[in-house]
Amino acid sequence: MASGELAIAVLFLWTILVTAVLLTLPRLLTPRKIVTAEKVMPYESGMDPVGDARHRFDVRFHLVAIVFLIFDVELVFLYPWAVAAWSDSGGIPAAAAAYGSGLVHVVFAEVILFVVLLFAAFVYAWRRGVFDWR
Amino acid sequence: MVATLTEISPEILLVLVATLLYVAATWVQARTASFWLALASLMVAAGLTAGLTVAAQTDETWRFGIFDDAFAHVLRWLTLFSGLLIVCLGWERRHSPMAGEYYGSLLIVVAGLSLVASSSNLVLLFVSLELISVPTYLLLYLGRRDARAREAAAKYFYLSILASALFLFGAALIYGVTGTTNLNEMRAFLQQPERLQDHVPVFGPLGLLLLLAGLAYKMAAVPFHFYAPDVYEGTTNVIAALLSWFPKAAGFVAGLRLIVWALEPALADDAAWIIWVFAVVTMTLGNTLALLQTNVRRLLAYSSIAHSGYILLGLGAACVGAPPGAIFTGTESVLVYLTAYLAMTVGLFAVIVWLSEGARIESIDDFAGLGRRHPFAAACAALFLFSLTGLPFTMGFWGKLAVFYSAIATQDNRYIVAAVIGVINAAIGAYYYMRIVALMYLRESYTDRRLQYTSPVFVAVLLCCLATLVGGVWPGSVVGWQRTAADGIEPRMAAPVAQSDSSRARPLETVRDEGSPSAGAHLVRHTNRAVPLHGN
Repeated sequence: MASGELAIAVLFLWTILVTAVLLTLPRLLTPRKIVTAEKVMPYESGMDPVGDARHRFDVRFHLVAIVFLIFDVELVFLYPWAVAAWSDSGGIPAAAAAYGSGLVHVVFAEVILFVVLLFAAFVYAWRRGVFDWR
Repeated sequence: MVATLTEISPEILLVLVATLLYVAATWVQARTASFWLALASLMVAAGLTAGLTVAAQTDETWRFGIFDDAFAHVLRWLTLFSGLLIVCLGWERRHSPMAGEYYGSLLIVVAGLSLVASSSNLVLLFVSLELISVPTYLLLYLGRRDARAREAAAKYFYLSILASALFLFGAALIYGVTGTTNLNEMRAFLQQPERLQDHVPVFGPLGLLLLLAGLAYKMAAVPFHFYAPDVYEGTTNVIAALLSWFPKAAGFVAGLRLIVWALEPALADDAAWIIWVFAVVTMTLGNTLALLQTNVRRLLAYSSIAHSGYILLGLGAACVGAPPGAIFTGTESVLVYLTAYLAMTVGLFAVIVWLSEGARIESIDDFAGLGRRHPFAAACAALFLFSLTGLPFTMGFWGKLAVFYSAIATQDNRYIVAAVIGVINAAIGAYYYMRIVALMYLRESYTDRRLQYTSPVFVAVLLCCLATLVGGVWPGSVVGWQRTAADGIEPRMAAPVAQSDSSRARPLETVRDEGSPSAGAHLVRHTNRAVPLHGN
C-alpha cells in the first residue's frame, strides 16, 4: 500500500518539477533583443493560444486535423497492440498455446486489415482533394 | 478465433463493400451501380447468414467477443431485412454525386446493428453502437443541405456524442465493479453473491443508470428525446426512416443483452425501477405531444418516442421476469414489438418516400384525398396506421398485446399500473393516427402526383405490407421465431413448477398464497433476484 501512495507522491512531485522547469527554462534561454507580443507568444500552430474560444480560424485546418487523426489513431493503436499481442505473459503466445498456432496468423492479418482500412480512408481523403490547399 | 471471424462474415462483408463504395466513388462515376452493389452485398450477406448455423455450446466464440446464439442469428436476419428496406428507400439518391458515400454508410449502419446483437464484450458493443451513430452523422449531412438539415445534423451529432460518453462512463463503472468486459463472465460474476463486495451496490446501479441513459438516447426515450422531432423534421424521409429503426433497435437489443441478460443477476431490480420511470414518462409524453403536430415527420418522431415507451415496458417486464407458464416473456414482447415496429414504421415512411417522388409531403394535409387518387397507396398507408394504432389483424396489435401482457404477467404492481397507463396511451395514440386515415378518405385532394409502380421503393412498401399482414393474421410465425431468440436472454419457464433443463435457467420458486385465493393465485419469487444488494 505504502509503495502505491509513494508512487502517487512521486508523480505529483515530478509533475510540479517538470512544470516549473518548463516555465522557467524559456525565460532563461529566450533572446531578449527583439520583443514583440507576437514573438513571445507560445506556438500553437498559428492560432492565438489565449483569448475568446469562439474565434474564427480557417476551415482548412479542420480538414488537416481530421486527416492527422488517421495517422494518429493508427499509431496510438499499433503500439499497445504490439505490446499486448507479443508479451510473454499473455497475448498471442499464451493464446496460441491454448487455441492453436493458427491464431498467430489471424491476429497479424487483423492488424494488417486495420492498417489497410485506414489507408483506404487516406486514399479517400486524397481523392476528394483534402490535400489541395484551396 | 477463426470460428469467430466466420461467425461475423456477413458484417465483415458489408463493411468491406462499404469501404469499397467510399473509395471507388472517387474514381468511378457509375452511381446507380453503387445502389445495385449495396443491394447485392446485402443479398450475399444473407446468403452467408443462411450458411451459419446456431453453433453448439462447445464453440467458445463468446471469448473473442461474439455470441453465436439464436438471439444473434434471429436479429441478424431482422437487420438484413431492414437493411434491404432502407437501401430500397435510398433509391432516390442513386444519381446523387455522393451516392457511393450514401449507400456505403447505409451498409455500415446495417452491419452495426447486426453486431450489436452478437457482441459478447462491452468494448465491441460500444464500437457496434458507434458503427450505427457515425455513418448516421454523415447521412444526416448528405441528405439535405439547407439550414434545417444543418441544424438537425449538428444537434444529432453533439447529443449523440454526449450519449456515447454517458454509455462509456457507465461501461467503465460496470467494468470496475465486475472486473471484466466480457458479458458472459460478467453475468457469472454477478451470479455469485459472495463475490459481490461493498462497492457493487453503489457503483453497480450508478453504472446501470448511465448505461441506460446512453441507450435511452438511441431509443429516443424521454428525457433523451429532445433531438428527435427536430432531427426528423430537418432530414429527408429516408434518413428519418433509418433513424426511427436502426438506433432504436440497437438501444433495445443492447438493453436486452446487457441489462436483461448480463447484469440481471444483481441489478435487475434497479433496472426495473429505472426502466419503469422511462417507460411511463416516454409513452405519455410522446403520445400527448404527437397530438399537437401537423408536420408528418415531426408527428412520426413523437410517434416513435411513444412506441419506445411501449417497448420499454416490455424491457422492464423482462427485468422483473415472467412467471412460469406465461404466454409472453418480457424479452419476447420486446422482440415481437420491434419486429412489428420495423414493418409498420418503416412501411409508413416507405409510403411517404414513394409519394414524395411525385410531390413533397411535409404536412399531414398532403395526405388529403389520397384514398380517391391513389387507392393502393392509401390502403397501404392506412394498413400501417392501423398497425401503429394497434388494431387487430395487423402485427402492431400483437406487439401491443405482447408488451401489455408481459407487463401484467409479472404480477408486479408497478408494471400492472404501467400497463394500464400504456393502454390509455394506445387509445390517445389512435387519435393522431386515425386523423391521417380520415384525411386520406374523407377529404378532397389539391395536389396531383404520379406514382411509379416499378421503383424499389414500391417493393419496400409491398414487403412491409406483407410483413404487417402476415404477422397480423398469423402471429405464430413472428412469435415463434422471436421466441427462439428470446430463450437465450430470458429462458421460458414451463407451465407449473416443472424444472427447466437449461443451465442458464433462473431458479424460480412458486409460492401459492393459500390465505387469500382471490388475491392472485401465484406469487412468484425470483430467488436469485433476492441477492442482497440493498438492505442486508
